[in-house]
Amino acid sequence: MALPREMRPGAHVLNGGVVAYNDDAELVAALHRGESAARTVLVQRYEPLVERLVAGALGIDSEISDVIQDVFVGVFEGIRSLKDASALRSWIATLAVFTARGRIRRRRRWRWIRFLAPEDVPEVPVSGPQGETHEAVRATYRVLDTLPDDERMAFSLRFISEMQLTEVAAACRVSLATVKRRLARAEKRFVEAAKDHPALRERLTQGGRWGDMAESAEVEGES
Amino acid sequence: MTNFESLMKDVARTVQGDARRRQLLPEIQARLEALDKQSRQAQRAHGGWRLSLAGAALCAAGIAIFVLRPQPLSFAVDGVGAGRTGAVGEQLIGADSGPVALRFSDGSQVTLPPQAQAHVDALDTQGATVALENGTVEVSVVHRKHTRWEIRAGRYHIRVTGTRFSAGWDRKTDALTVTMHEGSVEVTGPGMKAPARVVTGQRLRAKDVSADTQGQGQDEDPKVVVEDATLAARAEAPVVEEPEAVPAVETAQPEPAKVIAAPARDDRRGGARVRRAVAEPQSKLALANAEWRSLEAHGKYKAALAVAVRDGFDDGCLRLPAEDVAKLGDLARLAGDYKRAQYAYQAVYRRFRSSTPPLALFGLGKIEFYQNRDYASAARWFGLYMKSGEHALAREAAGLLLESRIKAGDNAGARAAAESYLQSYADGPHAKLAHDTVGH
Repeated sequence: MALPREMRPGAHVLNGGVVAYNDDAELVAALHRGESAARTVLVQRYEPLVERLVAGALGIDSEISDVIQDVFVGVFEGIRSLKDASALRSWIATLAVFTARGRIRRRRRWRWIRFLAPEDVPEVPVSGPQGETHEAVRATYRVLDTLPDDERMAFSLRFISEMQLTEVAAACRVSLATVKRRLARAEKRFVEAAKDHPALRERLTQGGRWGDMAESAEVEGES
Repeated sequence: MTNFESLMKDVARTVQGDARRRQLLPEIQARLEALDKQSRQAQRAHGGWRLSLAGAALCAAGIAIFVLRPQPLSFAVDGVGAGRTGAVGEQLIGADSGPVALRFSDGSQVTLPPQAQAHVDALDTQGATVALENGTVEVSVVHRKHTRWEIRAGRYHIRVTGTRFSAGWDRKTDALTVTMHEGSVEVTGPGMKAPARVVTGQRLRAKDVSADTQGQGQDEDPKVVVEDATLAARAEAPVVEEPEAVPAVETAQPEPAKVIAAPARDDRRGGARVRRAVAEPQSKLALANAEWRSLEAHGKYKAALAVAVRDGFDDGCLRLPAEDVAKLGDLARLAGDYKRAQYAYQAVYRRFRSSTPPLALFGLGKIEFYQNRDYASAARWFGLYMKSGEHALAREAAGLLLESRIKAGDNAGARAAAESYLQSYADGPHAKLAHDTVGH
């Protein structure tokens, strides 16, 4: 992308011509001014976060890159509405969560079509790891597919994307108590459904948390 | 590390590794550039069409305004015989064989039972004026923005916004009776210095005695009585006469006074007894409160609320003491009727301001937070609760205040709330969030 004709305060050029901004406030101000270099910087800065959240929610999925692109398109379309630059990170996380959830919902709606006319829906080729881990990952997302969307999002953000409870709450725009409730329900459902998947049963049957595939599972508090 | 944690780590590693292998950054940048290009082209392409589109939109708006311009109401006369369109000024009499219904185009209806007489005085875009000549009519007016409906009986005027009531006029005695089934009306006429408000469950009786005494040199006060319709129906309560003049009752509440003052006495007879309106009795809700309270005490919140609503919940919110109204709010909240709960809490706050029971403030905060997701308002209510000095839910309120300010994007306020929280509840459930907020 082209460098801005006029460099603003807060932006500086690093070796190799890359533009950098000291913090999110400067970055957001530059985006508000329409500096295209700021967009590159934002993508570089937040792509790992978005990728972690989206991939955690969708699993091994050929649509991940589409979803991540959708998130950033949403970010640039809505950046003018962001007044508080310090909220940039959580705002992007929220956009990522809602975009991923939208994709999951859309896919769920399409399931009945698949049911009616399976020959019309092409199989999506997925490149993934092989062996035991591959099977466990596959089984994990098959189980997550059976969870309600909100519970699935809470589960994946907390346990796969390893967010703090408060971050999960902020990203899902719900209270801490609601997140805890969703996680408790999701965990319970996950444990129950995991029993039907040999790959998960084997991984989870030996000792420790859920070692006995207990009926109930408590959500751990923030440590 | 537990089996579960190990599994989740594997899952995270696998899916993120898969995503990383795709090297998404170039793709994202390419798409953004493509979108930019598209957007610039679209702007150029559509530039020429803007004027034509604006012109077309203006034409469409003009047509819409013409087609949708407000039309005066019309009405049909239904009843004995076939229905037909009614006309302004046409005298309508309830037939012996059945009632006559005037159905208005706004959905309102006036029903004339046998022998009742009335005519439609005027029709406009926002309502109608019906002149009641004799008998009792049932009125049901559909509420709309700017509704202007009026029933005229002799020199009395009943102003209606949206409600159900019956209005009776005895032309021999010039006596008006208004019995409210739902909503409220304002009545003006002889003997009233200010409009008399009549609400659900009440009945107004007024007698225009000046009409009888015209030209006879007599001096009798007109009577205006507002009373509980149920009680009055049981024992036709007479007009209360008191030995001394009683000033108009003023409540300390900011709500309009619901007690109707007596018309001013013509004091020419000096020291004579003054007739005044009967003070409005307690609402039916208060009369029947034992029932909903008992159900509530047994945890049957929905049933208790149903009884309270039946007995005049809304009206009770405007008249009962603060504690009772707050309790009604709690009841509605526990029954899951958040709109009604908010109504009750807001009523108590509007009426009692600084002496509002703190739990009502907390309740309003919770409704704004969890139901309406209006975090700025929630923060205001939780802040008011904390200022009230109540301690029962102080920790929860402090935590919710912090959360509300964070969600409302009030960073400075959130930081202040976090610091305050940590000072008082260093080990509280919101301590981590408070630490994060202060640190951030």
